[in-house]
Amino acid sequence: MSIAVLNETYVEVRRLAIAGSVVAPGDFRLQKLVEPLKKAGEKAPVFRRVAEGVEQVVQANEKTAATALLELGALLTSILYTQGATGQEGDWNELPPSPIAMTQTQTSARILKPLLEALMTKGSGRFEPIKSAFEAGLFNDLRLVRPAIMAIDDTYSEVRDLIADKVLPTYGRAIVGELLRSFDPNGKAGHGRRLKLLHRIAPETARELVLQALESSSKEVKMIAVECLGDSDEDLSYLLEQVQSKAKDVRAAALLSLSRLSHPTAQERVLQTLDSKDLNLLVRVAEEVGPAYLVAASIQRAPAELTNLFANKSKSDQKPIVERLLYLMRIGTARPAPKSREFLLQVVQNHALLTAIRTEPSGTDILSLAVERLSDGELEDVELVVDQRESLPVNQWSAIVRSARKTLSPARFFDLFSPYVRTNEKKSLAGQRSDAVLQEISGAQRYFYHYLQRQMDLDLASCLDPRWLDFALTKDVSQVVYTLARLQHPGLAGYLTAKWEAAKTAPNADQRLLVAKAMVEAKHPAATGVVLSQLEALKSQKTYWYQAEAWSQIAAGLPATAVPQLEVILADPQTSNYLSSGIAEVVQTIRTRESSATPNGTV
Amino acid sequence: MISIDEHFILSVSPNADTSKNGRSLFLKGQFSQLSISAEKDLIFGHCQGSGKNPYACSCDFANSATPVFRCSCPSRQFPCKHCVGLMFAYVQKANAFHEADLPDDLKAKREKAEARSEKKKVEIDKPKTVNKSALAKKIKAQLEGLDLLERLTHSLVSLGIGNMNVKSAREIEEQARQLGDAYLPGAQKALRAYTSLFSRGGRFVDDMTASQREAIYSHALEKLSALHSLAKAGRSYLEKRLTDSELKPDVDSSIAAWLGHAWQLAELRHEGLVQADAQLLQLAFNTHDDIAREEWVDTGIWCELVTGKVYTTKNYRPYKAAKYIKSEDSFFQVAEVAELFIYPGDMNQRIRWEGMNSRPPTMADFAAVQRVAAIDFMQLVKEIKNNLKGPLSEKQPVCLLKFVRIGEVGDALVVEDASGNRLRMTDHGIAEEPPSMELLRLVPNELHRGQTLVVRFSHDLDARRLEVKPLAIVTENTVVRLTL
Repeated sequence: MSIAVLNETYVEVRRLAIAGSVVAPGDFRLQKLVEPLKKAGEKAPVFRRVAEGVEQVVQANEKTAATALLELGALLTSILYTQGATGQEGDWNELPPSPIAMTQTQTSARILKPLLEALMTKGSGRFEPIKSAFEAGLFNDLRLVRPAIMAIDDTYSEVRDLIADKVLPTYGRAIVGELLRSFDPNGKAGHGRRLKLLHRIAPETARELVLQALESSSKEVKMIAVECLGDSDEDLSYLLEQVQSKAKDVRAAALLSLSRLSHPTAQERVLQTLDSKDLNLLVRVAEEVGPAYLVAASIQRAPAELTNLFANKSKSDQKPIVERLLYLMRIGTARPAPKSREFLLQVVQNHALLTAIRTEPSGTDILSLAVERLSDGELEDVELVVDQRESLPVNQWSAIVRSARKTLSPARFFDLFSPYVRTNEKKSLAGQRSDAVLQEISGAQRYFYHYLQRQMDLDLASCLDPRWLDFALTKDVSQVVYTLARLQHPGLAGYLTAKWEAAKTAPNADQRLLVAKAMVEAKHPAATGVVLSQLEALKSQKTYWYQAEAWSQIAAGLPATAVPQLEVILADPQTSNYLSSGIAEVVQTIRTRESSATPNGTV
Repeated sequence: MISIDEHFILSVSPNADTSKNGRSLFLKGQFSQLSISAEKDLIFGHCQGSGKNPYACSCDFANSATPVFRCSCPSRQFPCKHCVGLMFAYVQKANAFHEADLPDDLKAKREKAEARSEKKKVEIDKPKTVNKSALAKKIKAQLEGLDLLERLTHSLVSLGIGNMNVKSAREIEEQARQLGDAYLPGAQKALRAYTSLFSRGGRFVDDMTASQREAIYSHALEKLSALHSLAKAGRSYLEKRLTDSELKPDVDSSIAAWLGHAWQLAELRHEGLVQADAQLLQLAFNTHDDIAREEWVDTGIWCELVTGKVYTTKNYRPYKAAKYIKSEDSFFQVAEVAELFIYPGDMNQRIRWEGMNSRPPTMADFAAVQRVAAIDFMQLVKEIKNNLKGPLSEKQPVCLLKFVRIGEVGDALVVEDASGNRLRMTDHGIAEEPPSMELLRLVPNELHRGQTLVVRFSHDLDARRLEVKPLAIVTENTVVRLTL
């Protein structure tokens, strides 16, 4: 069968269908095909039918052209469907063995399709499904391997970071081939991530690519390639060259890699940077690699700089020294070093001189960094800072009190810091110190939610000395009383009753919540009545979700005897949706708690 | 005895949200009074919802093939999240269900359901009465509708595919509505399938690039030819039907479905288009948004293990009612169907069933699939081509290939039979079918030799090439799915 002439006819029919059948009558190019078709028709009758169809189109008028063209189109399409080529000539190549060799494909379409869409499309709302799928182990499916690799180029940084740092490494060396296939050394950041991932999962395979990328690649890939060096002393000469690059990013990457080498020349070059304008680049080196020689050398230089700082009196001279000193301190304290504590203490001891330096950054910044580092340190460091507390600036007190609470014993913390608590001084130095202590032991109580969050995070009642409660009751420090309400104290019930009387008519709803919560926690005899009365009052009001949420959280602490009354409120058609769903959960919580309680009443 | 597992629950859930919410209700401990009937065929209990009173929900497995889910909640989904949660509770904590008498309302509902079922059985045997004069009137209206279809098709050809624009597409869609009024919803959808070629995301666009337009021209010409053939074949079929004293729809071809005839199961049963005791294994699945139909379509590819035929399930979920219609999901068990209904058609006929039991697939099931796969590709291609030439035939049939090896020839992935006949692979499938071809490079090498490949044939009109898209590999003990 002469397919060529059929194909040619189809092309002409397609052209006329695109242009419109009105131009088909008398079409010269179609007309030309009649004769070859007729000739072919002598051997195969179907060509004769096509020839007739062509003639009908050519001889049609404007009205009949559409029918004739469609008839011819249908006939040609039918014939061409039977002529589709199928085979594939050529040499056979076996598919290379798959390193993945995965056959797990049992994830259902309802889960898989949205996940594929999240990986393969753009737009918002995709991070959470991908993250949940990873946490549920769903990426162990053959059909997700390639989409996951493609997602390394995702437009959202959260998605691509999750894919590159968490998802793809789970496939291990199995995806090396796939990564290699899609790696373009001249590509953008996505290809840099590929190289970094290859270096992580198959360093020996990545090595060659890294060396090639150093010769010729895009800036993004080259930077990653430089970062991937440093596993072998062979890299030294190249890194020494790159550390002088004009591009700051490349110099930073080269320094990072040099710091991984143990070669003396590499160490020497890194140390040279301590005295150069690239000192700031060493902060990342210290934080990520933290070579001991660098940390030691850095802190060794710091005392001289401090002396130099004090020797200079003009602000313009002090400013670069402060900047340099801050960098040296950050590098020198990134890892524990013998001299660092000594220097930090020297800084603390010179607090008066430092606070007088008012450049930007200032001497206070140096002091803050020293206090911060010492506060994060061992007990004896914290003790030293605490001992110096009165001579340190008040803006350091939050850090000092926090580290003291975390590190010192509850009794010692109480003994040292309770004397600072004031109730009626705000702006004075004493008031600010008092604020720092109260903030630490009771949290910000301006809003009920901040208070709740802090309570949940810290559980202060269990880590503070019980004497705080007695102290707070005596001094009327209400926020501390509320925080510690679940500790027993003979004066607590009366105190809370008085506070409730004052709060129940006050316009501040947060105060009511704070007192009611304290009453529930203190197992105050009036607690159930107070909470239920508030819920009763709320049910007929327009309730916002946060109010319902807050009161539900408080009500969850009520005893089982409150359940029938809670159910009455729940059953009331007036109760708003927010409140009713909150109370339903409360009832369930109380019941679960009661049912799991042991016979003697303890849970 | 109720034998359900998490797979079952997920498969009966109307959608992913329902199963997720149902599971969460169970985990939150919202269920109380968990009970099971003395016959161990019905579970019931209370679930605390957002309302003040808990919902009474139950799952009745008296007929395990068609479980009945009841709940006092106002949801229109069946099963609702409360019933789904109840089933999760049973699967994970069967011991928490205590034997109890059925509540009176449940008893009454069960009795009513039994009575309905009995009535249905009687009705099945009753001959269906047809209002012949009304049907004849309908057929005449359909014939008039076909005249309209023909006029619209001709006007489209006169206009030219290249001159289609937003305005003309909208005008055609407006007129196509009349086809629905003329009882030709199938023809209406076929016409929309043409106009939707010129839209993106359901909106007509005028700013298509030359290459985008070029890519759809051949497809458009094929659709216009199909519309023309539909008008012709439909007229011939309807005129013939008018002369038939019974006015019966045609059961030998898919023309009735093309015109929009919605086959009732009773009709199929009456025509003998049923198979008793079918065993079905799903080989592939897809779900896509069909803009022309304004529906989401869930498509399942199944192999009937007794006859070895490859069938298709179609679940249409119109946009407007999608929330209330259960979306289908991939199914990994073997469906045991007492009565399988088979629609008229050529290849991959559509199937449906009313109730089924499921069981885990065995090696014998996979062997049954492998046994019916085509050994000679050329013979199969001949059959496929013969089928493709029909203007209204299935253009992308799914078949099973017993291959000797899968490999590369040049840049193409190729599957080869024992005689050395080769078929070139493509990623061109139906709408939204994920790319699958490259997955063959990721499977173990033993899957490249001597297995069964499930493929979707498609003819590329521009390249004049018949190619196959791989959907799954059936081995002796599993189906490795390459799409969904």
